[in-house]
Amino acid sequence: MNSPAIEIHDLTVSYREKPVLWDIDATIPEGSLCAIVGPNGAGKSTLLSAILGTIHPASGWLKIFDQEVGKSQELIGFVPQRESVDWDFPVDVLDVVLMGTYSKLGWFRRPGKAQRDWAMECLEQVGMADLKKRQVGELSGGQQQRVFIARSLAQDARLILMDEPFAGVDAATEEAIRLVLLDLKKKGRTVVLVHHDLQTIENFFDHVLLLNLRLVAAGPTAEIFTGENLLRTYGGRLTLLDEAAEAVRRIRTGRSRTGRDQ
Amino acid sequence: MIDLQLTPVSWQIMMVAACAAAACGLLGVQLVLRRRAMLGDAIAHGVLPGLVIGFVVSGSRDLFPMLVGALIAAIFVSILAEWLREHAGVDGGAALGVVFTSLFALGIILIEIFARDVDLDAGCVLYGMVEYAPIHQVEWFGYSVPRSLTPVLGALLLNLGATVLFWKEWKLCAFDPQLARASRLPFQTLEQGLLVLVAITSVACFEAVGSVLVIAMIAVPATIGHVLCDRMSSMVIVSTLAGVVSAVLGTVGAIQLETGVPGMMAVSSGGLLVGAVLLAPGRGLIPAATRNFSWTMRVEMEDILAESHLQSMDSPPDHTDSAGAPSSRFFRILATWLLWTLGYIRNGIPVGRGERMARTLLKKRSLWKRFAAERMGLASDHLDEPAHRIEHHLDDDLTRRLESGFESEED
Repeated sequence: MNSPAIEIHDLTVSYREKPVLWDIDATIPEGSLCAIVGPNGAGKSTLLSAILGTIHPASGWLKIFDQEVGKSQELIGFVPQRESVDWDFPVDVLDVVLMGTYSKLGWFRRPGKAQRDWAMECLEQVGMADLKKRQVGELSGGQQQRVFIARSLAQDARLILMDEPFAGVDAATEEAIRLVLLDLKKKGRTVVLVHHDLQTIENFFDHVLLLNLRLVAAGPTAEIFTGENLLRTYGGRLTLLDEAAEAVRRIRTGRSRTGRDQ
Repeated sequence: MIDLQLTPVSWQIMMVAACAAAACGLLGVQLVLRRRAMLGDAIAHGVLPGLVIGFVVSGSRDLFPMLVGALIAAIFVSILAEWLREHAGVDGGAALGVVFTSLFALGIILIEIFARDVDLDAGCVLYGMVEYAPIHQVEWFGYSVPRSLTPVLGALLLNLGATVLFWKEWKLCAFDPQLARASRLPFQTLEQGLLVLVAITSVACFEAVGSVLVIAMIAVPATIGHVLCDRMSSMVIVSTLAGVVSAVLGTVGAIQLETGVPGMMAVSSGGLLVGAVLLAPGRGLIPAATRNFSWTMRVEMEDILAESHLQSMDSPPDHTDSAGAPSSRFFRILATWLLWTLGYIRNGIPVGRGERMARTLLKKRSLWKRFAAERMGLASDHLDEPAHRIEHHLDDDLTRRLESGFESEED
């Protein structure tokens, strides 16, 4: 097995005292194509945020390429969920892809010709070079998704996280994303993505992480992606876990009515 | 008779107002892009008690003590609003609203308490004293300029510098905070730095133009820029210009109508915004409505011409138009009248240009029907409807391609 890209140890994350991820232990090896799978509200996006370092765990730790998240200087490529983007923002396609080059540029330096050429190369890879001057809001959903994939390519990171890149995209985009993922795998990059379509997992991803508030199972797809494990992931909410979380919230907040979920 | 000859005094007023508007406009862009223009309002209002305390403690109108007081108040506003949101379960906008109105009121009360000792009154805080700017003059390199130009110009240069220096960092923070945090940018520092700049700008501009105008100049020009522009660079330029234009219109308008400059400026900027929303090329309401109208008219006219042409040739009309809604009947009557006025149709028969238009449309219709039947495999009784929908949209290029497609096949 390769050296681990991501190590997660005893990770618990809570929002307003209410745990949304319980005690996760998992290892994702370098160079793998890993799908995070689980029902709605299972904490998939939360796990991505924890890996990105944008939310702090209540307990436990995360390491990326053997460095603790937060202290790590490692670049992480990131494709956000489509709903979380402000599509009215005055940027065109090329601007967005150029954002991928910012962190390597450092302070006060503007992207120059080298960066623009590199960004165009990334756009070519997802078949969007013709639309470089379009404002991002004028694109179709699939095209928007591809722009962000191109941006994550432009970041040229060893680890790339994608939050539901396949959600609601057309067939052409799905194919384009697939090719990009295979190419990344060939280059030895690690890609972790939140995924919904259970049918495509077996022949495409070599790793899965089954999540439903707690880790159900994680590891190579062939071993882990079994009917039994899926049933444990999707087979009803773990009512006991839910109730425990609710009790924690109630006691800490002293309120009885249900608060905002996630 | 409007006399647009400005006196040197008016020029000086205009200069101060324009610099203040541009300074606020630059920051407004950043706030509007984060959908947080409200925060600009909150800080511009909320700094008041800090300002007054700084003023009272130092006993002078020096900028520095007021600036310190205002900065502390600004930080207090954002912390308090955040705390309320977190712990009182108040929605973010409401939390800000509560905090800044309370603090602003506190500031007014403080002014009234200390009114005997200090030369500061509520009216001047609200509306500023830009009209009196030329009274206090200072020397700059041999030129005599209004004293209040110094802080306003300072704020403008500071904001301009920050906008240029942190261009890509702020852009990333505004567009994708998650990536900004993940890519080692000091996200919190950058965002708080922006708020500190808002506080500094509020203080620097308040003496010149008053807090009402600071708020207007933060929110309105940047919104104009957002409506008109597709790139951040053009948005920054347009917003700054919109601020300056409001200042010019405000000063000139105030002199003509003998009212206050700040009020006139805020009204002008509002007018500019309405103008932008109505007239923005492409997205504006009026261009869009015009486009729609001329398109509807073109479709109606072409349909009438084609029908009458078919009738005059004694072929059965293949397009039976249902009477339709009253609005479409209105367009039909208007189109008929227009065709008659233009001389495209005489005695129910298309003539001249009208005849050419009818022939072109019928040609497009038959081309499309053939395409639909042969290439798309539509059943013969399903050809009319799609053909009618598409025929008006076929431009010359598409028509040629359709034609040549058939020709190359026949070759």
